[in-house]
Amino acid sequence: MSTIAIHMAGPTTSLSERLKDPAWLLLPAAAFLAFIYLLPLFDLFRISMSGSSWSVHFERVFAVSLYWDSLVRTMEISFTVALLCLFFGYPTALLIHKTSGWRQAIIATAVVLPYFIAILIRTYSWMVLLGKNGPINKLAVSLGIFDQPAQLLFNRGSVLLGMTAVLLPLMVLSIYSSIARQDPSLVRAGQASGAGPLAVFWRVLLPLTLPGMGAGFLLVFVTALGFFITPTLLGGPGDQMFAMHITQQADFATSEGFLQALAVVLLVITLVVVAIAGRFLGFEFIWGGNKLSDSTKPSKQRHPGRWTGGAFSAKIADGIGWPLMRLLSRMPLSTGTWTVRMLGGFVLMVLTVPIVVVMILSFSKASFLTFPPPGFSLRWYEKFFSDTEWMTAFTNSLVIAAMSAVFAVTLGGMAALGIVRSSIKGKSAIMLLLVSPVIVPPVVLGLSLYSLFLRTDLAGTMGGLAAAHAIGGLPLVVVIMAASLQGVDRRLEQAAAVHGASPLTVFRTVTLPAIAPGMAAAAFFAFLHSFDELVLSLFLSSAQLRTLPLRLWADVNYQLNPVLAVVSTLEVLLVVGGIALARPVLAGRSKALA
Amino acid sequence: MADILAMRAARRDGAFGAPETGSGSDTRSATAIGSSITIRDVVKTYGGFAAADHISLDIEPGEFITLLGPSGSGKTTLLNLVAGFQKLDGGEILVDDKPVHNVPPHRRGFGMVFQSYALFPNMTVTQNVAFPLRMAGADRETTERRVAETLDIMRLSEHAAKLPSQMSGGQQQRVAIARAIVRRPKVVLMDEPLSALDRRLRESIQIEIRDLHQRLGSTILFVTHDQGEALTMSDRIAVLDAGKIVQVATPVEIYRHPSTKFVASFVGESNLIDAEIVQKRGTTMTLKNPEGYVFSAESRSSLDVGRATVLVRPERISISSTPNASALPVTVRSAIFLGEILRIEAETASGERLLIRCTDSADRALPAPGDTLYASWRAEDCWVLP
Amino acid sequence: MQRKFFGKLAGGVAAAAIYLAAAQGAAAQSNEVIMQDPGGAYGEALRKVMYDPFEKETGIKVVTVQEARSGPRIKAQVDAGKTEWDLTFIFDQETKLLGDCCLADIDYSKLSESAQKTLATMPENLKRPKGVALQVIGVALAYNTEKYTGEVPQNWADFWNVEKFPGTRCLPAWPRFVFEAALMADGVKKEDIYPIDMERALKKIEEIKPHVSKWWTTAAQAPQLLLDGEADMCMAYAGRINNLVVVEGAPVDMTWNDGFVYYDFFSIPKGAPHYENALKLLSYRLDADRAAALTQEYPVALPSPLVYEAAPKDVSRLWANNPDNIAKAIAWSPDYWGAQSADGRSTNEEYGQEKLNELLAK
Repeated sequence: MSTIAIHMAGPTTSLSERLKDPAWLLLPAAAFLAFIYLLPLFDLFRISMSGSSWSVHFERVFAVSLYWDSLVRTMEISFTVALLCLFFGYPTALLIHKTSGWRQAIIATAVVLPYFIAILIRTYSWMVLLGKNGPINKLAVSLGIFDQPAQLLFNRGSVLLGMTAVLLPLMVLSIYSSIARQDPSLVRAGQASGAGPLAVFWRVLLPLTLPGMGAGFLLVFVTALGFFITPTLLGGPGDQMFAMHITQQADFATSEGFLQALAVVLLVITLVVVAIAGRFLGFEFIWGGNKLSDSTKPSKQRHPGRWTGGAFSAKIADGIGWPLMRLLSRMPLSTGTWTVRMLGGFVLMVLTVPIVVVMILSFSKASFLTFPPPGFSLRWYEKFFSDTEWMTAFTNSLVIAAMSAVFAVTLGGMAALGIVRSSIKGKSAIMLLLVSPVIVPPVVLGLSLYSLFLRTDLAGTMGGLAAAHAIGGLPLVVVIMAASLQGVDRRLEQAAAVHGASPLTVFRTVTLPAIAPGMAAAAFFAFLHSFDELVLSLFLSSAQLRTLPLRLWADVNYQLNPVLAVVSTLEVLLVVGGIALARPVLAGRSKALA
Repeated sequence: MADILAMRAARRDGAFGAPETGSGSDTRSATAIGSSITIRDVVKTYGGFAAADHISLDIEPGEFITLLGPSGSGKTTLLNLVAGFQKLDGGEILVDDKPVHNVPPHRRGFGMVFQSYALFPNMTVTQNVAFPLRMAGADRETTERRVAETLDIMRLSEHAAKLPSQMSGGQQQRVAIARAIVRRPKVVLMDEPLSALDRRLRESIQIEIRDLHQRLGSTILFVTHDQGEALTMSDRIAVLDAGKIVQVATPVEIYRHPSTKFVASFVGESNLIDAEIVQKRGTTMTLKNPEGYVFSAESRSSLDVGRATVLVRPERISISSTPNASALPVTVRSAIFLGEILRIEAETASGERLLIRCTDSADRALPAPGDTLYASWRAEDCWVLP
Repeated sequence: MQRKFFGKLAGGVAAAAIYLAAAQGAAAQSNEVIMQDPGGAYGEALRKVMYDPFEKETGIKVVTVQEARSGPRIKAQVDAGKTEWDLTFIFDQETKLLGDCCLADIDYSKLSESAQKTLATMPENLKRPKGVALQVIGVALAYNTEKYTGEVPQNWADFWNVEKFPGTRCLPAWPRFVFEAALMADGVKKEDIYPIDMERALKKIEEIKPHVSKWWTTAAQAPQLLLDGEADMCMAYAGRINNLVVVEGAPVDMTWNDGFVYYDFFSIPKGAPHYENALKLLSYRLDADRAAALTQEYPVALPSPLVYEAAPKDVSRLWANNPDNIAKAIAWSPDYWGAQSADGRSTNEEYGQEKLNELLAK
């Protein structure tokens, strides 16, 4: 693409001037998203209004109490999950912040690693852990807590637990980046002012990290709204979430229009939540941008007089606030430390134990899932690697993920260059468009894409599936590469240009080496995103094209056999390997974003 | 450097015009509320690295003492140990003769100023300054009165309702100081409080802190890597290197009579001349440099034979363009005109470097590289390192 | 210049589209047949007895796609003119709903001789122009024989009787079969079930709901729940239970009392990419001997007396088309479920599903 820019820089100066502004680099990504993302969503709206009157399908959504109740339940579950994530995520973020050296590396890895493992696999590990023959039941029975194995699965508790565990890393990372941005001497300043650690936390750290908490809360809430895999596998019939109705309705031949109406309702609710959140926090929260950190926007600052004004609030401060602060200061010093260690330690267990159990089980000798395994063998690995269906699914996934990563990095990389380096107006709006696929529930996206794919012969093709996965990979790439590009010292480029390098040479010799690590990380994440993707694939794949997550999904629904544990273990190894390779880059990225 | 010292000396002598609130160091002891701090054989290690290596230091009540050293010398570690932010690995710290190792930082009752200001960004200036008082249990009225007083002292009254982010660096640091002193603490710890400020601002706040010290009488433990700052402000300076205190003395003593090469070269510019001892009589020693140039120097060294290192400050060297038997001929390598001062780098015949600072005078042409000059100094102006 | 650039860009996109389309076209040309597959143990049996020999014999590759319900997908594919599947099984009620729009006529004359022979023994209703019934499906009451050692549950009334038969239950999360069973448990006579009194059925379901550990959604779940001890008594597809009892000797058993018998129809969607191959596979599956061999692996039988008689008595004991069993079971009504619901918004099935979901969610 760059070559085109060079060719065209020729005849008219005004045009070549215009082309020097790299805004045109946004075009491929824009065209891609317009065709494969916006168009289908518009189509979704169109079909949802295609009944005898535009509103007839929506009337059904709101007239049948099933859907209304489910909507309320979805909000409830999402809200509870977000609260739980906040409650457990904050101590975990603090724990990461307070440790250092190898301890910090281990804790951070324990939090980040699960984030990159497929939701399906993590949910499956909870099914194993909570099952009747699972370790928790075994332990409780042997300790005499239960008389007989209890039904721990398929209830609201298991849904909340599973979803919280799945979404916790998102919250921890969001809060951690907010805590890490704070001046470390603030806590000491508080202590030097006579406030104990708990009081400093309450009056200083907590208020300062509110934006990070808000961002994490909203990310978790919005993601939870569209959740489908975890509640399907861990929930009972009383825990149906809205996205599940869409897949269920997709089973009825007569539901065209109504099906789309359900999806539109879910989409609109999600967008409304995001819009309200964006109004207060700035839309940057979606991609972990920086605006959140400057809590000092004058227009939004509380009126300075407010705290000292108002006789009533002053009384409250005198009567309750300050005495409470002093009480907090008098608590034993270790109170806070131990609270953080215990809650954070609990979270680390919740995040890692299921995966470890599954990894151990993959080496089980038994033909069914029981923990601890009666003996160890590699029979399930042999089964996996000798089963052509598993292997085909595995290679399909690898090829599709690689293609998807190429799409995402090419389009996303150009777009990132365009947005960082051009002087185009409305960068925020463009960025919002580029990253918006992150917030669209995958079920909605999958449904909307299905008809497009049928019409355009993309259904069931590797290219089509890779392109669909790239919709979600693109935001990851744009965010990482934009951060990476912002880290490049422009003076180096200018220096190269001054010494006679053409724009292309400058890009090749200066810019590209500088952003190469970011690009590699972006490619890895785009690859993983596609490799793990299930929901879109459910809608878009075909008989000939089974991916690994699809195969897993089918098996998880039938029976929990140990081959699934093998696949899970392999995925964990892939992620660990990838992260180990990408570690230096990740460190750079977090710096760039912080 | 000499100017600063002159200023300091002048002030000490009371010739400089005493601040309104007190009259120099003498009144201080009368109003002193400061605590004594005794640091005894303190050890702090990180991994195998000793950040504080058996440090001992006695700080008088109401004293302004500066911990001076390059980064990594352990000065901030020592400050953090006193503040209670880090745990001792050995030794003890006593405040007013009471050990503090079991007192958590927030109960030590110290005030502290940080390099990064560390103002609470979510609170206004008033709230920031009121915070320590409220934590100490002061009621609303007392708090409001004391905050107003303190803001007044720091000339911050008009900024009372602002947020830290709405203020300049210098203003923010004054707020931080206000917050540290509002409780009238017996000890104020300052961790490189001025290093984030530009030079002019730094100098004005240096004076402000100095005045404040005299007014409050608190013991101030001040950490800096800036020797000029240390010389200007301190009653005494403790120079640290590699986790050890190498010298504790008044600024004048440190400058004139450093105890080691490190102190000599870290504080001020210096010429360290390697010479052979010819003769010693009382506090005067006669030495001979490698070229055979013989000169006298002040010495408290116990040495009387062998070799010694002699410190000659560049501004103590007189130069002349005419040969003189008692002068050392040197060749000019470079000469830089700094306005009132000339800074000349010269070389002796044996290739030793000699730095010379002299005041510019109209009747002398600027020396050019290659010129030969004749350098000499008085016995009182050089110091044999012990 | 700029226009040229856009021209190039558009050209590139078009080229990519053509390439992808060509790839798709190439796939369509290849010698294969795409067959919807139930998966699980049944899927494995089909692969072994039918598909593998078929591939060897004809050189036509059988590609299977696991999908519980194909109706909506067929409709979407045919509407878009991009049919992917060649042979699908669809519900009885759907042969009517989808017949005109989406299903091709089956050219019975082109089927093999042995298939014709089998077809001749089948009732007319099971060989429709748009679909042929290839499997008799039974849904019945199954239970864990280790849990119920003395008296065993005999019918839906027993299933609902948690005092006499304590333990956990599992039921499908669908209205079909469950509503009928609830009515029978509530004392409605078999012949009076249709049209279903949904309110009454739901009320009865509410009674059993606290004892249901899992409302299952795929056929393989119910037997698995029984084996894992997650449920003691289930409404389950007869085939797999039959398989567990007869082939694997697992501690489960079932009763055909109040069971349901219906047929899965196999259809060729309009515009199927390999119509001829689909007919060949259909012929293969309609061969009585081979169909009988399949039942040895997995007891879902072709609805022809030829197949039933070819099997040993102990194997066919629990088959859905064993006349003894059919006599105990009820004739399930696909027509009722496919009909329009009272409120006119959807089918009875969809309406019932919404009502059931609502109840379950409480």
